[in-house]
Amino acid sequence: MSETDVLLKVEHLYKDFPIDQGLFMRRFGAKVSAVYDVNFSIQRGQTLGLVGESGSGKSTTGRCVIRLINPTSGTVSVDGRDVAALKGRELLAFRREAQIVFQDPQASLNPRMTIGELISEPFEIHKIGTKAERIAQVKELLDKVGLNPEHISRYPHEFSGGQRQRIGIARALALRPKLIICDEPVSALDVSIQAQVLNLLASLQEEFGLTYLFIAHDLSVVQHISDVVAVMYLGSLMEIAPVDRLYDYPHHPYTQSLLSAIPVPDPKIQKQRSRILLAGDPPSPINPPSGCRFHTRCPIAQDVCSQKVPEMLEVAPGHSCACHFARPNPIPQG
Amino acid sequence: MLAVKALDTIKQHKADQPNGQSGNNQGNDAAPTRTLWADALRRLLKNKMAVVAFFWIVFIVLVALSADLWVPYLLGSPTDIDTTLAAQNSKLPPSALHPFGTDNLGRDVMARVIYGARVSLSVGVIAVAISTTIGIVLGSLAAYFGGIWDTLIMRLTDVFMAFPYILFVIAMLAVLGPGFINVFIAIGLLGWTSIARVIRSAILQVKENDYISAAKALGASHLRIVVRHILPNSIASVVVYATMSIGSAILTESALSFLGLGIQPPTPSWGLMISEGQNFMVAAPWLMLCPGIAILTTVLAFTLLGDGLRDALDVKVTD
Repeated sequence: MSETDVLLKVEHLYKDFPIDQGLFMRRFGAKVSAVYDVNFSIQRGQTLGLVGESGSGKSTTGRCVIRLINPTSGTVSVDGRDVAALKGRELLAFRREAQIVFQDPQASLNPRMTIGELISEPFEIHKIGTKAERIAQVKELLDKVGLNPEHISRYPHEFSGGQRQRIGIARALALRPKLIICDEPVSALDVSIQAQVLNLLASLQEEFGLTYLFIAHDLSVVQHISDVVAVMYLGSLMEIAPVDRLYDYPHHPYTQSLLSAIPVPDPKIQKQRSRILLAGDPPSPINPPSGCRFHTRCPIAQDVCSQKVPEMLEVAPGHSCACHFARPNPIPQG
Repeated sequence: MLAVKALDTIKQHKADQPNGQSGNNQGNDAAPTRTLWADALRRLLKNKMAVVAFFWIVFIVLVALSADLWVPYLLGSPTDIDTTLAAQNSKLPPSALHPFGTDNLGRDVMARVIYGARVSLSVGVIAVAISTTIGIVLGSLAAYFGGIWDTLIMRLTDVFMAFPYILFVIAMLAVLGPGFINVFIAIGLLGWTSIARVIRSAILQVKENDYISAAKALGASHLRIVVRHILPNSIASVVVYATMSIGSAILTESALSFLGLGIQPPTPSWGLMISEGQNFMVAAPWLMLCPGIAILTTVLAFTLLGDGLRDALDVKVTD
């Protein structure tokens, strides 16, 4: 992988949320450390799959990247520009470059607007085109995402979940962005619909040269669509690697346990293979564990793990892992 | 029941047509294009009490508006006193000539009730419009921006709510002086607190939705987010609340006029008429009963309409 054509670069990203919102309570300084020192970059036209349990900070990372929330510290640069520093007109211009597709298509479409109004809103906000041109654009977009352009005056509740997600994708696509954050875009959909939407995302990526930050908790979905996969746990990155390497040679014990949890559609292998079961639940991000954030549940943890934060070290080209005792442990895939 | 069935048939008929014409491949079971407000109206029409209430309000409004055209000729002036006939016409019981009887000064009570409707309805509508506007603006600011805005505005509403409402209005009128316009101002300026709370809680719910995030990600301005996305989705509860508070504004005006702080004689107002009529409660009960029944039915109508609106608007989006 060359470093030449990086579209998105995230460096030392931190995001804390204060817990007590009251007027006098803030001074106690309690906070949720949602994202802790996250670093990654995405090449133009590629897809980075960001996986982790719920509460691991993957959505927060995505929202920091497109400035829906402001990071506590760290830099996010898209096309070489620092996103966190943008203001006013520059921020508005940035909105044309990075868009987001949400998890729940029901909640991400205003129920009181027709899909024509929903998809032409980006054009209105950015004052693009005349009314007639906007309608033509909307119809073209609907066609692109596989919806009937004649349904332009219908309301979101008249569509199925998969169709609604297509509307959400059309809206994100309207401004012809370079980067799209897909925040679990298929988690709320039926399995039968998931593949259709994933294929749509893949074909749109090819057609428009899109770059995706694809957030998911389903490793098999991520494997299908990603070029690079990053694994998050409790706000920190554990391991990042090209998709084939991560699935074949996972180094981090957390990645290994996640991969061992994917069911294999063959009862014989499923019975024989060993699963790495993690004890307990993820600790609270209010008081995250010292040292390596994973050490409380790690099967191979030693004393040093609770004292020293492991550095992200490259174990192979493009494959980095944050573990003191990282070692390759390919899991037989049958 | 028949009417409902007929509506459904019409709906289905309409549903079939656009699909047949456009020949799309989405199947004929797709719902017809219609707005959520049209749906709400359809549901409202199914509520008989609300429909009756609505027509009662329309009737009162029409009667009050057209009063100048016929009341003086048929019933006599609501304000002028004919001194030569006053003693003779005083406190006549209801009859064909004076359906609601006459008052102690010989004026027709029905004429006064009809002209009193003008006062009561305009107080109801204008005072509520003032308080709703203030309530929506302050409640939206508090809920949308949160933080210090929320704290300041909501503590301010707490302060306003801590005072007994009617005493506050009386104190305000004592400062402004009695009068028609001042009644609007006093009721309007003090009634916004509940509206602000209602809209605040509605917005707090709505603003967590992803479509607000989506609008932000598209670069929408705060004004656009509030006006196009938040208010259309949270206004339903305010519409309901405002309708119901029209009734209580009418009652407040009546109470103020009864106390002599609102509308000044000889202008008729329902509250004022009760106040004057109480002196003759036994000898001429119609002096009190007629405006009393007018207040009762009108307030009840607004409350029932508000109730119907709540049921019609509050339904979750049906798939």
